[in-house]
Amino acid sequence: MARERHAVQMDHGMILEAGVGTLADGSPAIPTRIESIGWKIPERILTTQELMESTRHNTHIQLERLTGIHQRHVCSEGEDSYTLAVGAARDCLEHSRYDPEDLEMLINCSISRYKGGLRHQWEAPLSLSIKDAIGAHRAINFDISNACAGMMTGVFILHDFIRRGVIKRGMAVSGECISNLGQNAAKQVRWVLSDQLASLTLGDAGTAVIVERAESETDHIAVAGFTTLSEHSRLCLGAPSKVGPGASMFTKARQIHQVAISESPLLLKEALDAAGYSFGDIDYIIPHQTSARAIERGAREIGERLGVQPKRVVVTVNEFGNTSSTTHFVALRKYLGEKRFNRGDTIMLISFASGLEVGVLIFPVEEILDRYGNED
Amino acid sequence: MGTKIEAASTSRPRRRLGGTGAIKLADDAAQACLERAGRTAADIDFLINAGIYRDNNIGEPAVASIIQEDIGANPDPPLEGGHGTFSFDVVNGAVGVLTGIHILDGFLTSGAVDVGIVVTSDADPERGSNWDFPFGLVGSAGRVSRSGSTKFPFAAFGGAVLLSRSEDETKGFSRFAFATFSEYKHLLKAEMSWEEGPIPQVVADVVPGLEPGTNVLHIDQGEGYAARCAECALASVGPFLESAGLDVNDIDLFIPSPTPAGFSDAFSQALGVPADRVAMVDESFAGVHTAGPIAALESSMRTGQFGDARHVLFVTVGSGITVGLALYHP
Repeated sequence: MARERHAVQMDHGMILEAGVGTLADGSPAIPTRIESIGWKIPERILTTQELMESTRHNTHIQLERLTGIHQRHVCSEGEDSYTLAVGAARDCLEHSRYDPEDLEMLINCSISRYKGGLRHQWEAPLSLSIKDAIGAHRAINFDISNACAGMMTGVFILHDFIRRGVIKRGMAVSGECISNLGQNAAKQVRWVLSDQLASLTLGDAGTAVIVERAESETDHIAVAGFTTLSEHSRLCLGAPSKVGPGASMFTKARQIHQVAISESPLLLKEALDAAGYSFGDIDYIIPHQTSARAIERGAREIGERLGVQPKRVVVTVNEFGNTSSTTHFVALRKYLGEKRFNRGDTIMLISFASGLEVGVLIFPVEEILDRYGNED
Repeated sequence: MGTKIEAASTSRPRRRLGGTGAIKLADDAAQACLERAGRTAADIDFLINAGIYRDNNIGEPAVASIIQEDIGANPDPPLEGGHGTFSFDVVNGAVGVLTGIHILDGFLTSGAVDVGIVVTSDADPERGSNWDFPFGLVGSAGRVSRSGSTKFPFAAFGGAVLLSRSEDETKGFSRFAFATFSEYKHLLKAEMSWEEGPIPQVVADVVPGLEPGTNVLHIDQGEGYAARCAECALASVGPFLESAGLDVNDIDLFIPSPTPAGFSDAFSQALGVPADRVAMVDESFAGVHTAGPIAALESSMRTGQFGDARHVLFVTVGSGITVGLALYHP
């Protein structure tokens, strides 16, 4: 009974744009695709054991056992959100057919906008500094902020501009320098139910993606979509810290997970229906990376609700921690570099982020594999 | 099929102890805008917040999601039929509202949504907060995430503009352009960073071992910023109108950013546009920041200039220097 009622509730929950179809005026939408992906991962590694040994209080928290996170990469002197974003943008361009001047839009999607150390830049937009650094002089630039859904929101915006023919290609980029939240949390966390526990899972990373006009009938984004379940907007807060440089974050992680799992299956089904797929058709599910255990449990529960278990669920949080808005593209870049995808595999990115944002992006990997040295 | 402006509204701080926070200002502007348009919050499919200076300088979640919940724009899935709402923040200085309109125009044009709202507000993050923020939030956020600011130069205002699809192809927004002049990036900077200093004893007693200092917001506006904004806007308007097949004399109403102070006059005089073709705001809006373009729009709607015009040109300027232009046909 409850499930039937829910189906009615969620009938139009997502704001969706399918890969093929028509615009409001009846003209055909132009298909789009992911052209290239780049990353910048700091070299320095901080293990979970090292982090937990640095806590001020004797917490008795088995963080690695709870989350599956063994380590995260963290910024060193001279690295920040800006350098990570620029590094990722350059890696993306190295794997792209395009030069920086070819980009018509550049969206910076990070929550942290540190430049010159832990100096958060509110104005001018950080996207302008990134644009100047990589030489994307023709690009319209702006920043967006949508918590851990930032990069996927940027791709959604690019998809919309390209499918209407306004631009041919653009880049979404994000540099997340957020390990400082873990350092600040380490000063305050006392026990496993601390509302700063999630801060200890964070790692630093930069990612970038170029979205372009697709020429192929199959190699294009199948659907992109989002909705905000703002009834739960106050379950996570990140703000400048009062205990040390950088920021602090306070999260009701268990509630967020429960809401995401209970509310999302029918939203995901809406997106799958719009793309003409079933959950079983998806070769790789890439959810937001919070903890390995939460991902595995969540995927299993969503699979039960949708009547089919996912083929493969990507977990990279053990190696990188939760890198916020960049997690999906860290996973994609890692798998591309390691040649783990097969031509024609269908990928589904699922975003659960503070807000509470639920986002979906479904696309195949075909030509992009060539740019990372993949062979059939 | 263009994107039409249904209503615009601004908000000001209420008289209360501690002032009014940015989120409350945005809530008030959005609700006034909905009332003016004769709509309910449930009609909104898409909500973009373009404000920069917010309560406690929060970075997460998007302030838009909090506004969405506050005004009741489908915060939970509708009971029967209906739709959800997608919300996020745009951060692009005082051009952010036009960037938000540009993005929203796209989703309206694609047919993904029917109605959307761009909301904005700025307030000194140290002056006050929405009464239920942050204390309605998680755990200890209210105790430890406050941060200071020095010489906050902007006045507290909120603004909202409600957009929907027009069935008439000749009406609504027809063209946007954005240009940046990063040689002037240094003329308006806002940064938050840690500054060493003593911590209050009451805090030190409760949480021993804290690093002495606090995060402080610094906003620095250099001399000549308004004049450079006018130069950049002038350099951008000519090519934009030419690409639209129009001349300066074809524009019935210019809606320039009311700030920085002096920009509007310098721009319109250099362009040779008489005052009756320029939307102005009264002096009570001095210091308005991201809500400036909405204040000027609201003013021109009130005087009838907007409704009478055939071609309207929005000319917004902000840090970068960024110039945003949009052509609108009422």
